[in-house]
Amino acid sequence: MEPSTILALGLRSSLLERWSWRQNFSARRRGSQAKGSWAVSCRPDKRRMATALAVLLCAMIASSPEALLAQAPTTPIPAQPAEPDGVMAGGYQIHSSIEFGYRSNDVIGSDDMYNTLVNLRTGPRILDQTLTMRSVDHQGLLFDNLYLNSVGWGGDPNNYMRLRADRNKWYNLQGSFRRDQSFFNYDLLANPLNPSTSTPSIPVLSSPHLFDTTRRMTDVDLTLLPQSVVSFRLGYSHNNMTGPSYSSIHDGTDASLLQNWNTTMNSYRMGVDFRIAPRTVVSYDQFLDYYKGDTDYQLNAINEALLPTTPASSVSLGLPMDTVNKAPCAVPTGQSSLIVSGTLTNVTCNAYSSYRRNQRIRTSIPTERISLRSNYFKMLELLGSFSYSSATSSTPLDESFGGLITRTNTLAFTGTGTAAANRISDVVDFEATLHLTQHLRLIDKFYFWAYRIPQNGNFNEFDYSCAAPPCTLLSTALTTPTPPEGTPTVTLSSFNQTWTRNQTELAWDFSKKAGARIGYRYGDRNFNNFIDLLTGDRDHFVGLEKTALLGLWARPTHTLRLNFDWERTNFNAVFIRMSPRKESRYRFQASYKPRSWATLAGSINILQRSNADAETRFVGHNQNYGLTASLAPRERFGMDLAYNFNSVIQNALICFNDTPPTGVILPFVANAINNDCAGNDTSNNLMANSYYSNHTNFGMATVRFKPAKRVMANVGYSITSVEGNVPQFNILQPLGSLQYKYQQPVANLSVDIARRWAFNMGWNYYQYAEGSFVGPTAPRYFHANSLTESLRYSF
Amino acid sequence: MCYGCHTSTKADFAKPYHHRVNEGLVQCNDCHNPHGTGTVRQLRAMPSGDAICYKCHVDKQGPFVYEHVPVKTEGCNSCHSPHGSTNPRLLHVTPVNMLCLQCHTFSTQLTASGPSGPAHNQSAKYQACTMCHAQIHGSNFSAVFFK
Repeated sequence: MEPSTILALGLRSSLLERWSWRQNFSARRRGSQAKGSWAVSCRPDKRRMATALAVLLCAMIASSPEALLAQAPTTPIPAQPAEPDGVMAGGYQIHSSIEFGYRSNDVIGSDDMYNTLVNLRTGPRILDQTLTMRSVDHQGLLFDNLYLNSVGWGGDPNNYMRLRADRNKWYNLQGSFRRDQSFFNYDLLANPLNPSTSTPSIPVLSSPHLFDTTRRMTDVDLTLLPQSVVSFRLGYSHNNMTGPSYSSIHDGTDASLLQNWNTTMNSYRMGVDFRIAPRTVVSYDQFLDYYKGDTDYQLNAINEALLPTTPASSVSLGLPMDTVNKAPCAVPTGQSSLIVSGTLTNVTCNAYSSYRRNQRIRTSIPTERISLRSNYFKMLELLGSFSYSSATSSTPLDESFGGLITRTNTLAFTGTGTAAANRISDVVDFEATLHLTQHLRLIDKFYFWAYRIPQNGNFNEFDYSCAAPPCTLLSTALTTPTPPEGTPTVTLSSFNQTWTRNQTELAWDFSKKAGARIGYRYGDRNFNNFIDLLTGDRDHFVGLEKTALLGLWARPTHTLRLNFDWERTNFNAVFIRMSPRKESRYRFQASYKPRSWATLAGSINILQRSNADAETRFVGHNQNYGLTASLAPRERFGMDLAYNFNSVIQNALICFNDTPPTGVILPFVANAINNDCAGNDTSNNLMANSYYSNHTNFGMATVRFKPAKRVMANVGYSITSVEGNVPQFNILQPLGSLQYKYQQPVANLSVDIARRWAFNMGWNYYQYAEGSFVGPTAPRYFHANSLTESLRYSF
Repeated sequence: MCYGCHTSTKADFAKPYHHRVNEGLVQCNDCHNPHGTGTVRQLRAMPSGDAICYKCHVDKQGPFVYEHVPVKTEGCNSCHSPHGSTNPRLLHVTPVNMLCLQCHTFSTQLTASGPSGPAHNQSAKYQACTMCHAQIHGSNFSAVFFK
């Protein structure tokens, strides 16, 4: 196998230059490819890191050796300096702080997995900034209170800024800006698991659906005259996601696509509150959400091979490379491989020379809502709203393909047309609480949601074949489409659902120490899917839900709190196969505070679902057991402990089609019953119980100690350990995320080095290790050190 | 503050794949209203009644010409664990084909015409369902969510 043919899903330099997003992304890829291996070492100054670690470790050992035996949380709790004095200026009491520093990282192993799970990079950072201003006499000029906080500037994947300001009786202002840089490359997702028996053998080393996108969200809400009889609300939100990802398209074979994201949602809100009576407010709101989707798709030319033409041109053979199963085609007789010396040996192969699709989506969602909240009557609390929304969406189809689809002898096609859909919805939400006595109340919640989505698709695909099929990649496409009028697709459909739900509860507080509630919930779903309005093809479904509710709470002593909730639901029918006919939920929470410095808590959450239908036999549960302890016996010493066990099991009959390669025996496939499904589904003749389990243990411990007046330290450790099982359909399919350990030791040190100044040092270690085999892709193991040194100034 | 009682939720957010609550990017009350709502789990909803998930994941809201039915009828959490998961993309089940097959198996019990199973050899390239059905949340151009 030639290195140039290895599928790494990276772009060629020419493409890289064409796409600005690539700069950041390609740097990562170049970093990994420069080593000629999947394994990457992002090396900051290792010596510097080692020195800093040694300092941190020595300080901790010197201060409290026994603390090293303890363990810590995923996110370290920063050492907090003493309450600063603040300053007085302009009638305001002002507090402010800023923490800036430098983060160093050292990643060994899969850089892609590190970025998927952690994504903290080396560089200077403004880690935290806070400003608080409070008017002492509530006579501030522009505001009485101001709070501004921001975190993570300078390159961290998540950063945000939050603002709150108010002026007594005049306004309340809340705003935020959030930025989320999301990188995802878990390489088993959507991976075709190309086998080594293919010639050539080209594994897919990255997820075909890799993401490297950034979402920026702005929210601003202003309330004017909040305490007046009439008050006004204005709001604006902006949500923009940009960046690259990979996608795929199935036509002949599966091509890799470069998906350049650009989606924007602008939301405008305005409302008015009328205080029509004491403790009674009627509100009217108008919303407008406007969505712009400008994402486009372009061929990511991977697995390229030259055509035997002069001059030579190339085609992309796509993601699946399994010549034994004729993907994208078989090796021709007399040839040793599909690609020999870079040239394609089978010109009757599914392949892409070009592909492009633009999707310019515009969606407008105006909504209006009228609502009421009142406790005018002492015995009755009312809360209700009605919303009406009418969304309109349209998008043109603009698609073109060049290459060969052997099944239809298509050498090129273009797609045109328009897709349009509306969504008209009504929502009623009403809640009434009637206080029958001081300790007895009746609560009723009613919820109604009806929507219909009329859909209209009108597309035309013009396929171009060759003069004398079967076509090859060397054939010349005709200039007239086949058939000449194209292949029209007209969709006129409607997707409608009405959902009504009412819940009534009787709550009784026996005393100040105990209480109970009992209730009943009734739901009704009426679903109409008009698949084709022209032919009258329709799916109709009515589902009823009946739920019994029970809740108990007790506070036998002022140190002990107990809560228990139970729900039991029966559904008369299900719409999707894995929906339960019976569902039970149990929730138990306990909190015990035996000392002022000790809090112990525990919880049990159990969800059981089943569908006893003979063709489904679905049984599943999600059980969660948790314990936490927070102990601070001395001013200078504290400890947090947590343990959680989560068990997920799903079992249902499935029918499937599986023919393992010759000589391969998969127990799940071998033990499946043949022909049980064939009566209904001749394509999938195997039936088996699809037993799936996932058992997750999570443990965390952290110890805080203050060895000296000016020194605060934390050490800790957390682990997520997953053990699970799933039917193996494919000999190349590893357990992946069903069997791994993710460990995160942490340590922090904070020293007050001068008045208003503190030096902070934090160390995080991450290790991700799977227990199963890697599969025909890149290993996912990594471990990483992250060291952050910072100075904090506060007043 | 919520973690004090909701310890299992705290563990969910500590899982490797999680919404960025511990990082401060997302807050509990972005999705839940602690004072109560008309829906279960005190979940917020968009003014149009849609799931609150679409406030951030705006491209999934639609409306689409071809809706993937469970997305609309059962909600996002029929496939995803909203707080955190040990599986990539916050999926309930991994690998993806297992998740798909559990519903895409023929059943006569469904009142509506149930989805038939995929006639694909699971030992070959077709075990990665979303490689072909890439627009699985909804599509404007393909009834089988290819594009």
